[in-house]
This record gives sequence, C-alpha cells and structure tokens, in this order.
Amino acid sequence: LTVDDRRFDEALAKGIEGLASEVVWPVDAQHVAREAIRPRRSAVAVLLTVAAAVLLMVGFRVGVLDRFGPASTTGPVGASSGTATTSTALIPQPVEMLRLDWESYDLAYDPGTNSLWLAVMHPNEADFLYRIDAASGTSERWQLPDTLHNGFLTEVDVAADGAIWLTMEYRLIRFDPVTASQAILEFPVVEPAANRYGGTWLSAIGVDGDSVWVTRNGLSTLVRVGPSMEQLGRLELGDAYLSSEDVAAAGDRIFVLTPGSADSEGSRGSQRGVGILSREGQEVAFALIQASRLAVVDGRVFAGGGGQMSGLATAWIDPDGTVEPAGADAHYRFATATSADSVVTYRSAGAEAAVIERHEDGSTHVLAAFPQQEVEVCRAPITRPNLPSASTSCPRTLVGAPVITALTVDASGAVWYVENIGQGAILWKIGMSMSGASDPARPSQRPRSLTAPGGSARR
Amino acid sequence: VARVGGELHRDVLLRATQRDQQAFAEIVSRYHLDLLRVAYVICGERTMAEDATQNAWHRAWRKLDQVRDAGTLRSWLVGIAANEARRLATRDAQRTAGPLPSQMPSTQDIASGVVAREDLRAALFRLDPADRQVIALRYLARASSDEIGGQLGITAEGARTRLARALGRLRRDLDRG
Repeated sequence: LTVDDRRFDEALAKGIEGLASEVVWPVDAQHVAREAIRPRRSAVAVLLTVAAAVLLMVGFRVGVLDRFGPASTTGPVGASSGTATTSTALIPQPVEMLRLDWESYDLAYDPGTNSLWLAVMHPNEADFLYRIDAASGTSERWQLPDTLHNGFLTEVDVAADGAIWLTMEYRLIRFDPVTASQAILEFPVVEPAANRYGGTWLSAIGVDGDSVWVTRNGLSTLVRVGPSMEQLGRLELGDAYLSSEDVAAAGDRIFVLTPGSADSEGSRGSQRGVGILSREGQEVAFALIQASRLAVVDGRVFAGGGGQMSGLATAWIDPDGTVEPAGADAHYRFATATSADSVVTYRSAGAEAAVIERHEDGSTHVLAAFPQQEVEVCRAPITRPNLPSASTSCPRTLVGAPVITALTVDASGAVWYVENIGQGAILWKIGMSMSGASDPARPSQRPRSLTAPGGSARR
Repeated sequence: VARVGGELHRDVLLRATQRDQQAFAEIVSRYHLDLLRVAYVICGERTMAEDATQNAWHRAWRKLDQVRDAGTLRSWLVGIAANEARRLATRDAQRTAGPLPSQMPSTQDIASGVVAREDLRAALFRLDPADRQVIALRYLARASSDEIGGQLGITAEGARTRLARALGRLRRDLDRG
C-alpha cells in the first residue's frame, strides 16, 4: 500500500461510516422479529401446496398411500398422544389438555379459583385469553383486543384480587374474570430516554397485591399500575437495570432481574442478577444469580431458569438479600416452585434427555422425559465453478427436545406446561396418577414423587 | 432484553435455534442496527434497506441452526443482510443510482478527506451493487477476507481480488471526474 492508498482507505472508511450514520430512524426490533417469524407464502409455494394436495387426493383415491400409517407425532415418553412408550410403572403420564392454534409464552395459576391462565397471540387471526379449570380440564376463552404490533411476548399474572394481568407488547391489560371486562393501558412506542433501536415493549410484569409492576425493554424504569389502570408509582433505577427481564414484589421489597451481558466482567452494571430494592427504588442488596425468572412463594422470591451458565441457577432470596441455593440446577429454561421444599424444573442439556423434574427433600424425581436423538442431517454440496468440488456434509444434530415455554404447578401438585410445536402449542398436565413410561436418562434412580405439595407458583 | 454491544450469550442463541421467539427477538434487538447500516450503504435508500434487512431476518430465523458459535453470529447475519441488499439493489439498479452531482470528486479529494458525503454517495452508487457489497462488508462491517469469502461463497483470495477490483473501479471512476 502506498501512502495515498492508506489515506484513501481511511477516508473511504470514514466516508462510508458517515453514510451509514444516516440510519437514525426509530426501529421496532420486536416488530421486525415478529415479521421475520411470520410464515410467508410465495406464489410458487401456493402452487406447490395445491399440487401436493391434488397429488395426495389422487394418491389416496387410487390406494397408493393406504399402506402408510399416520404420521408420527412427537411428545414426551408416556404421553397419551405420543408414540414411543416403554412400559415401566414409575413416572406419571403427561396428558394433553388443550391444543392451541398458535404459540403461547406464559402460564399463570390462580389458587383462588384453581384455574390456569394463558394467552395466545396469533399473527394473522384473533388473540385469546384462556382459562383452564385445573380440576376438570375444561377451558373457556375470551377474545383480546387486536394489537397494533401483533407480536408474541405475552406474560400473564394473577393479582391478589383475582384479576388477570397480561402484557401484549406495548399494552397492559387487566382482565376481570367476574365481569369478563378488560381494561387497557397503552404505553408509548417511542420513548426519548430509550435506546432508539431496541423497542420499548413491556418486558415483564410482577403483581404486587392488586397492582402490578411493569418493566420495559430499553428502559430502566419501573412503573406501578393500579386496578383502575392508574399509575401508582414510578422508579428510575439507572443503567444497571436497563431492560430488566423480570420483577417481583414481596413484603416491602421489590426484586428486579437484570440481564447483564456476557462479555464484561468488571462493572457492577453489567452483571446478571437480582437487585433487591426498597419501595423508593434504593438498592438494598444485589444477588448474583444466573436466573431468568422470578416467582413469589410464601413471601420469598424464587429465582430460576438460569440457562447454561456457570453460577447459581436456582435460589431463594429473602427480602433482606439472603440467598439460599434451591438445590436445583436448571441448565436450561425453566424452574418454578410450589413451596420452600419443592421445586420443579425443566432442563435440556446436550445429548442428555430433556426432563421435567421435581426436587424435593434433597432428592430429584423425574416427572417426564424427552429422549433426544442425535441424527445426521445431510446437505447436498454447493458446487461453484471457482471452488473445488465439495463432498456432502452430514453434521450430527440433536433433535427431540421440546420447546417448553412455561411451567407451573397447581394446588394438587400436578405440573402443567406449555409446549410450542411451531405455529401451535399444547398444554400438558402431569398429574399424580402413575402410569407407564421410562426415563432413558436415569433408568435406575427414579424415585416416585407421591407427595402433593400445596401452595402456588407464579409460573 | 439484550444490551447494546458485547457478545450475545450462547444461551440466547441456543434458545433461538430451538425456536424460542423471545430469544430471537433478543438477537434482532442486538444486531438489527448493524444489518440495517450495511444494507443502507449497499441499497442507498431507506425503504429498500429495510426490506433487505427484513428479508435477512426472515432467512436467519429459518437457518439459525447453522450457527454453532455465538461469536460468529454477527458476521453471519451481516452477510445475509448484505446478500439480500445486493439482490434487491441489483433488481432495482435504476432506483438506487440516485441523483448524480454535477462534478464528481477526484481520488485526491477522497484521500485528502475533503469529499462531501453527497459526492461520495454519488461515486459509490455508480458502482455495481456487488462492488458496494464487498466495500460495505470491508469498510463498515470490518469483515476479513475470510469472512467476506464465506459470505459470498468464494475463497478468501477471491474476496481480496473482488475487493481490489471494486476499489479500483471506484478510484478510476473518481479520477475520471
């Protein structure tokens, strides 16, 4: 490179940076993500679908396809609608309770009415709030107001007065089950204080008596909203609490889960954990916990669902900041609790079978197992004229772990969970009755869980 | 959700590959601006850049399981966005050309840093979209020749050659002005 080349190089880089800096308009990343996930139908795809349907009809008419059985479905070992079951008499049987026409991301239990609540936000059709009677399994649903953004981050909570609070992107909804009426509070999409590109949707809610605390993506503000949808309080928490992932209230403390970031080790503001705050927003203590969810159980806060990170994954946090390990290392995704001595987790790690387990009295009981298989997925080589010919690659891929998005336990001790199945979801229940299924991950050390813990959990 | 800057946690990527939409939204939140800036430099206008970036996310959601290492996610996403931007810009080359200034800047002007942004924009958009793609990847996304090659489906040497030719065309074009 000559000096001119270098100067040209530097100036060009500067000039292109200048051009790129024109990208200053607000972007709603949530909306972008939702649009990316929404299935698209090209004209070719429609034609192919029609052609395939015609071929199938012809095939059945002439009997060509009769020799094939129905397509197999996935599901936990022992599931009533699943396929592969190996008979033993140790694990309760998951039962399909409700099939939903789109995915769902939270599940709340109301001990007052022994009901479960979940919401489905469909990208193209109406959105619904569902109530499932835990005893009978019957369900009813109410249509929710259509959203401007029509996204998918829905959280559901039950307040002390029995009202159902849920988030729908930029909307907070309070549903009164007695009158079946809905009140809506709209939050502004554009916030001057927010990161311009991230979107400021409602990232989490946490009930506090009859009211609810709200956190938002891209902001470090906590807002408390009352039953009449009035703002009862507002706390500015500073950058350390930017984009908080969950919030819970117990006693005179507010617990806020901060996401942290993976690359930094030094500054306090970048660490993942739970801040214990006074009602005025002052940080009383900070617990380093690799959690992703908070739940209030018997006046304490349970933090769980840490993911594949080092550090404490599940723990009990007292209002004074005391942290006590909960004895369940949830490698991935979810954990919930019913009482101080009973924690239910879902984990899915590596080649091991994914399992839902109850941790009780120092021992672990498998409630459902989802065997994973490592299969080879072969892809045809890409041939290009200017590259040497490549061979077919067959990377090994793990399949079989279900996408479980929510988990809770009812007063009878039955575990309920939502499994997203791609443009749909299934609500499963693992009751206390026993039936046959095997656990390939731990064939010999599976004590049966017969104790039915009481209490309730938020998720 | 995710904070700006820094590496994406591998757990987020794992969840997204298992079709967790919240995790995917977190990835979008983290990298959308990077993709949009690259697409804007290649397309030259907002609407097309947004379309290209949206298409890129659509493809990324379906092919996310190809990414094994969170450390390579950003360059993989940027590469998809750059390819989409080039595709749209090529299809609509007339529209991306933009107004040309009455007097083109010279190489000396560029090197001395006195070229106005509008002049550089005009010079850049006289290039083929494929040339803009490699320039944007190198000068904006700071991609290495290996990464550019991987994104274009050519060797690193091929990427270096393509970049050199694109820069040569840019300089010759400027000198003519």
